[in-house]
Amino acid sequence: MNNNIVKLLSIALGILFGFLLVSVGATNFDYQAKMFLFQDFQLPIVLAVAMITGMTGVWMLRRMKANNLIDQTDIEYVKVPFNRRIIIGSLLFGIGWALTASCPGTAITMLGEGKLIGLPIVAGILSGTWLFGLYNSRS
Amino acid sequence: MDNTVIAAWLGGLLIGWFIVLHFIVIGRSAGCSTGYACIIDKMHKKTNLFGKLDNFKFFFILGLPLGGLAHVFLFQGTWQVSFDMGMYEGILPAGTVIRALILLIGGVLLGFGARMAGGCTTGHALVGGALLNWSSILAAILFFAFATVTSWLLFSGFSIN
Repeated sequence: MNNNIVKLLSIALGILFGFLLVSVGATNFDYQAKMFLFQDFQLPIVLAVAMITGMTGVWMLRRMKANNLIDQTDIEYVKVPFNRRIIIGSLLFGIGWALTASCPGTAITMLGEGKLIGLPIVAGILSGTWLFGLYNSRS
Repeated sequence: MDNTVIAAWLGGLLIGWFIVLHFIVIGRSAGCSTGYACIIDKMHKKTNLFGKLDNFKFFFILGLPLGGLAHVFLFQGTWQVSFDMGMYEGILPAGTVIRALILLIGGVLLGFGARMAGGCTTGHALVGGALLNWSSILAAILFFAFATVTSWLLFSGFSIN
């Protein structure tokens, strides 16, 4: 299918996901902080229910051998192989998550909400991604 | 905290369905951190920093702030600029520059860590969880564990109301 249609569909899905992140409170500093301090279970419940719902849905898609809508080919379910980098990467990511009360999806969504405190976070994510790219291409 | 926030079970259902919808429409997994790599990749044409990237992820993260904007217009009334950090106001130093610097460093850790781990909360916890991908589930557990330890350190000695 025409690439421009896939681009538009990607933007539309992004809009929907951004909307959902705000709806569940994921772009709210206090919900994030209270999740890690075990004071509020809004976001942990969202994550758990979403994982179970996603699991059920993907299981059904696989059973039905469903094709994707854009070009009617097989859906790619990529299995990420284990790699020691996952451990170190998760350590850095976890510290960053707690320091900013955001993750890469919520930080950029906050900008649309007017929470411009997300600007240094987004700038940081871009810099960190770039730094990793340099490190990755040289090792 | 925020009266426009929907019930957790409903939010979880909708986000779970979204993950499935993304598979149906695009045919690949949803993800946020790859979009940042697409931006850097476009600016860094000479060398290939990240290997093969799903370039449509750039358009996906472009939609995210628009979704935030739509939520404000539909449910929150007027759009306004805010620098409020909620509970973090109490633990971060007061100066604007130092505060921005701490968030920038946190962002660097998020960006570097997500690429090193091969995904962020969306790709590993939500999608990897849905696929029962064990290395993703391990990553999600580690994200959560390390963030929890860091939060307890940050907020130790800080009483909530």
